[in-house]
Amino acid sequence: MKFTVALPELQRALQKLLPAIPAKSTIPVLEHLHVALVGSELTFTATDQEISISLAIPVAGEADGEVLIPARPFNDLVKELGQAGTIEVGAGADQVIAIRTPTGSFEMKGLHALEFPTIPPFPAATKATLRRDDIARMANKTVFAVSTEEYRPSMTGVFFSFNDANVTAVATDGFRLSRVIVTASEGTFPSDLECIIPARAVELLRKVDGDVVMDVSKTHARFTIGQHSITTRVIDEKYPPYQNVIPSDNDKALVINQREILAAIKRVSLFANTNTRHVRFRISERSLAVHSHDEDSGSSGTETIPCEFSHEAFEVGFNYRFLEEAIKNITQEDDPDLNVRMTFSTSIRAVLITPGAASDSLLMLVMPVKI
Amino acid sequence: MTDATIHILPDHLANQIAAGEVVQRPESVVKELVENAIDAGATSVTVVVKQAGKQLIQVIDDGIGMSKADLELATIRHATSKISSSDDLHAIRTLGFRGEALASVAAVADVEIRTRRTNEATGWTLSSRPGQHIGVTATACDVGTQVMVRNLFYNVPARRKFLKSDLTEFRHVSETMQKLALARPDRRVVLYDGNVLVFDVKPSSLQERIGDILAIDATQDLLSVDAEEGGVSVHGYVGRPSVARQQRNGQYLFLNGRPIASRSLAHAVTTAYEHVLDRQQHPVFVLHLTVDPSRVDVNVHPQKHEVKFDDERTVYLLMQQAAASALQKANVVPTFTADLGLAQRPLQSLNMTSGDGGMIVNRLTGEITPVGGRSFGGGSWQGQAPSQSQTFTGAVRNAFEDLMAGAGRSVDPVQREVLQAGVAYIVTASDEGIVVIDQQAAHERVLFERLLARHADGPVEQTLMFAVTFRVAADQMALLREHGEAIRSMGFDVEADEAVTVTVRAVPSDVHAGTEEATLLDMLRSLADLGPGPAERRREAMAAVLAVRQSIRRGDRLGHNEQQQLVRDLFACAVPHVTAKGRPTYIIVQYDELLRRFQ
Repeated sequence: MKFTVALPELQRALQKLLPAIPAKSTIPVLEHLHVALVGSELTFTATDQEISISLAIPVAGEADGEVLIPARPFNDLVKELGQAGTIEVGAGADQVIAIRTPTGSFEMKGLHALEFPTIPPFPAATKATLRRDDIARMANKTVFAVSTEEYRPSMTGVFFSFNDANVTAVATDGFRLSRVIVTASEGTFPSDLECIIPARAVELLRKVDGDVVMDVSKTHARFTIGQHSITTRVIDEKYPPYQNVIPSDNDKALVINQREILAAIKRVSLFANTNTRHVRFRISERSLAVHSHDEDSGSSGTETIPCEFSHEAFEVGFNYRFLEEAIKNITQEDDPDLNVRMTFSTSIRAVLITPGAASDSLLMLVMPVKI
Repeated sequence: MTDATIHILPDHLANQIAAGEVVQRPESVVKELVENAIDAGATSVTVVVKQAGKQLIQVIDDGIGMSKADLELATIRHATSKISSSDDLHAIRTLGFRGEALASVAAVADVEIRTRRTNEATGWTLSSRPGQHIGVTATACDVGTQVMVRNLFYNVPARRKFLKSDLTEFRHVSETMQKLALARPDRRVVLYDGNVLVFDVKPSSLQERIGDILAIDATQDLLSVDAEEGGVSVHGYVGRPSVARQQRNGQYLFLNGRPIASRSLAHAVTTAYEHVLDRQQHPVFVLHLTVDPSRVDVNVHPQKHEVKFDDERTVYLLMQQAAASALQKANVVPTFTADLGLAQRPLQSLNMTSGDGGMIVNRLTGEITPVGGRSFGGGSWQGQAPSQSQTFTGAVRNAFEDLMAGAGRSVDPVQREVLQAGVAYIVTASDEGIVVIDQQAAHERVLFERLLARHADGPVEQTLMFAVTFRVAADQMALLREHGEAIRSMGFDVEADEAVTVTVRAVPSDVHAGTEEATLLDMLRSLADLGPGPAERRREAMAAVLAVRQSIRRGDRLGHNEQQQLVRDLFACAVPHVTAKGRPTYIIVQYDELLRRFQ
């Protein structure tokens, strides 16, 4: 195998592949990239057996072949070679990989391509095409709420649910929830397609550079962006009945400015108990007081900001981290003025957080802390 | 005073005293009556208690019933159909045999018995009040026997006064009913608390019955035990280590169908779990022993809880091997130890201080014990120990003061380097020596103090988006009713329905999602272990459970900031050197010691 490749192209490819290279694996072969050259197309594959990423780039091929290259040392070298120019990579029958640059030559030991785990062909699946902005929006605005607790496997991923006209992405850890709905721009989505995608794979979808074709089988999901594809197992669990917990009768509505409330929470939280992260809202018609009090250290803080509130005085407590993450999730694309709308029923029922500009596209829910 | 100093007690008084042996609380009545029902060949036994049995205990069976003549004798002492000669006493296969139960109950409560035999057209009712004449009248009733015991101990105020709260008494009743249900999975057993159905288990296999009664997954968590040797056979199930409890309340032993308590036989089973369970954990098992009745004496205890075997050793070994082989078959217990050196000499000395307060660590179990008088093989350092004597706590306090000393001595631990060793220990230094902190124990201590402190200004309850609902066993439900207030005061919003379902709507903010049920059950067990006591002790017990549950573990990788924070938090504790359960949180290897070792 022998080829010459442009450095910028190679560097971009490696950045997309590295997330599937385990930092330290008990199976050394997984720390390698599978590299195959056919004519002028070079295909890379990386897998940690949870997620597989494959990617093809054009090169000037001299001799076809395949080999396993140690991923991190190869990437470390490529990073040091600057932003422009080309390098020549070759491997012989002894699996020694020779890299030639204009000024240097390097050799490292590779492995025989047959040692790489076989990745079974993707089975028959249901397809959906998602626009780049839509998939990025769904990934960006849900993944923060995914649970990291292994006791509830279903909550460690983002739940995607398609019906003809739209697709809903939901993440929750049992304390807060985020739901994004995207409508089909052209054509329709498949109906009744549901799957839970592990958070790690969703992370990768935040940074895609093109429209995505999503294939979902019983066990796996594949996201294809041109020559780049990400395959992940799906979480084979029943997603919790999240629709039932979204309240429809929250009668007290609060509207605040995102920048003001975030700044207030940030300052007040410095004086909150670092373990319970408890802050309290005291809301009246024209102003909202955010208050913290830590018995352990004897510290406390209060910030008061203007607001609009539809009800007489009301008090509710939160874990400030949950609140902050939810409010931060509202961006200018949701509401140009960055207004945040929160609705309440009682101080122990779920609190709804939506962008001030009325829209169904983004909805978040935070469970309060009892005072 | 009369001249006579000795006189024969009147019958009713003698009966009351004797009754005390058999009938101590409502639970004893339930046990005696249900055993009678089973001896009468009942296929279904229903028990209804009101006010934990103080007001009413009703036992309904579909057994063979009694004839009029039998019924007239039923409440007379030593009247029994179960044995007739002293030879029979050596071959007892029924549960009852002394002819004392009904007589004893009738001496301390109002008793009404209705009974009809299959082939007789009419049934008979007997009503009795303590010390009063008994009348038997014809009555219409179903085949079988119904016994109603009302106003227990109303004529023995002293006894009545010693009964515990309804919740506690009911817990005893439901524990006994659980035992009886496990003893006879082939019978239907029903328990009502007033109008509320506590459980109703249909005839089934022992495995299914265990699943129903102990609320565990019978197909997943139970391992079958079956063994026989020298005329003794044992069959039943042992639980996987994952369902082990903090109390012995999941352990049931039956001998020829009779529930028995035997510390020694329970120990035999527990030893099979060596190395797979902590000392504080107790395996779950339900085991039936079958032994020729002539080889055991069940008549050593009035409640027949204890028994004597003619060859206890054989039974012990049989139980131990049977349990061990069940675990081995399921690959729970490794069959060999790779490191023989470690296996044979597990004890290693840790010289904590320069005095004679050294510690010995058991490398197999991780146990650390003070040296005390124990001697151990090979490499003893005791001979080299300097004579200056400093106690364990003294040294620890010094180290603590060193670590905590302010500007004057500039040994703030946070300023010092910390590192995580073996993904289990945080190593840092004080003026006195190298400090090795057990990260799990240290975090338990930190959480424990934090939980107690936080409690002082009211719990912080994080409401749950998805309420957690689960089933509990009847005895656990009784515990929950008894300790509900205490549990709620820790920040759990818990609700129990009338039967066996518990719903959790909010938890203290440190409880990990998904562990609500296990945490709650652990807390109930530790409250049960604690027994009655001041509220503060109960809170400590609950905080200790929460701390253990939520702490980081050995094997958790910590970032540098987390390591520093843990050291800082530990030494900010009021009692930094031990966990709530008394395990040490850190040890100090003194510089003197290092110096000696390098010479």
